Amino acid sequence: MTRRPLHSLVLQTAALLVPREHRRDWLAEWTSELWYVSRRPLRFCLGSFRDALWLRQSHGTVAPRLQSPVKCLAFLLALAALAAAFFFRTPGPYDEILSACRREPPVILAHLLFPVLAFLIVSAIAPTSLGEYPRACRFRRWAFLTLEFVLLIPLVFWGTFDLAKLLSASGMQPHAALIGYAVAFRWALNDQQRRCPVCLRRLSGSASIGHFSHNFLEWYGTELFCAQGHGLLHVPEITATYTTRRWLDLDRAWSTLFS
Amino acid sequence: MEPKLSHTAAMILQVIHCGCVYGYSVMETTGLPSGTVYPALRRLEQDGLIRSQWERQSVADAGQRPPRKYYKLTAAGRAALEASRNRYPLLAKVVPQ
Repeated sequence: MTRRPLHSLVLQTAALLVPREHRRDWLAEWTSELWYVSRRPLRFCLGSFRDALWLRQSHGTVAPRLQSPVKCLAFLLALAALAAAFFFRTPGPYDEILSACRREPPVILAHLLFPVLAFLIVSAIAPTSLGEYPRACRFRRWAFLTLEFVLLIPLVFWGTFDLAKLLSASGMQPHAALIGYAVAFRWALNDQQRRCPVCLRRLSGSASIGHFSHNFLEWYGTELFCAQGHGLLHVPEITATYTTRRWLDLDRAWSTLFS
Repeated sequence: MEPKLSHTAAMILQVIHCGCVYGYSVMETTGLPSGTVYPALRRLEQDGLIRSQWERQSVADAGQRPPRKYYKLTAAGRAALEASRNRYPLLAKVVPQ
């Protein structure tokens, strides 16, 4: 079989999605299998993304800087500040948008509508429900989510102008902004759904429960726990009206397990 | 409890049982795309129905090909397959032994 540098590149790109501890073995298997493929090798290689995403989802780990709510917000703030500094310091983007707004006032309205449109897209393609949680935790969860959104909107706004400037393609900014808002909002909702409602730290210890083939007969999904011992989160594999994310509070009697 | 498998999972177990023991041969026999077969193999392995093992480098070198990752049914996998044959009577015809 001949060498296939393009297909190897596709596999290596997909491998970046695989958790580091499994990456070498995963890439070795796909590279070995590619050797046998005689028909439509690109289609074969594109399937590796689905496999890599599945592994990422089932063995996913979170960067330490995003574990704690304060560190997560500080990280987003730092990114937004960096994007803002680049936006205001470099000649071009800031002057361009200012003069566009003076010439055509609806331009600023369009920029304000992008986040709304992106949120509608996200809510249409993915569940936005945060699940069933104790009433007492609601305020801090919503406050944290609001802060994430408040930091993500300017980050995407400035970031996409910076990117368009770097690539010398100002026409791409509106498209990049819409995609950027949708990705950022999806990430924020996903992040929020994986946080402890009590301390807002990211949950850990992801463990699969049940068998995927038992979906209609018994509960199948993932269980995560708060490392501080506040409780367990049950995430069903298939979200339906009768099965949703459930938070189970653990009282002090369980604290010895988490010391 | 009698394990119940989806048709795809049962088909993959059946072809592994019939001797298609590495990913690409499972794909070729079932006609399923790579994006379905490999994640299904990982799930079945995670559920303890199959186990994987890399072929020795010397064997691969002798065949002048890269080493294969072989899959094999576990005892639980054989039981699951047996149960699913009752559930999907056409399974043996789709993938004859």
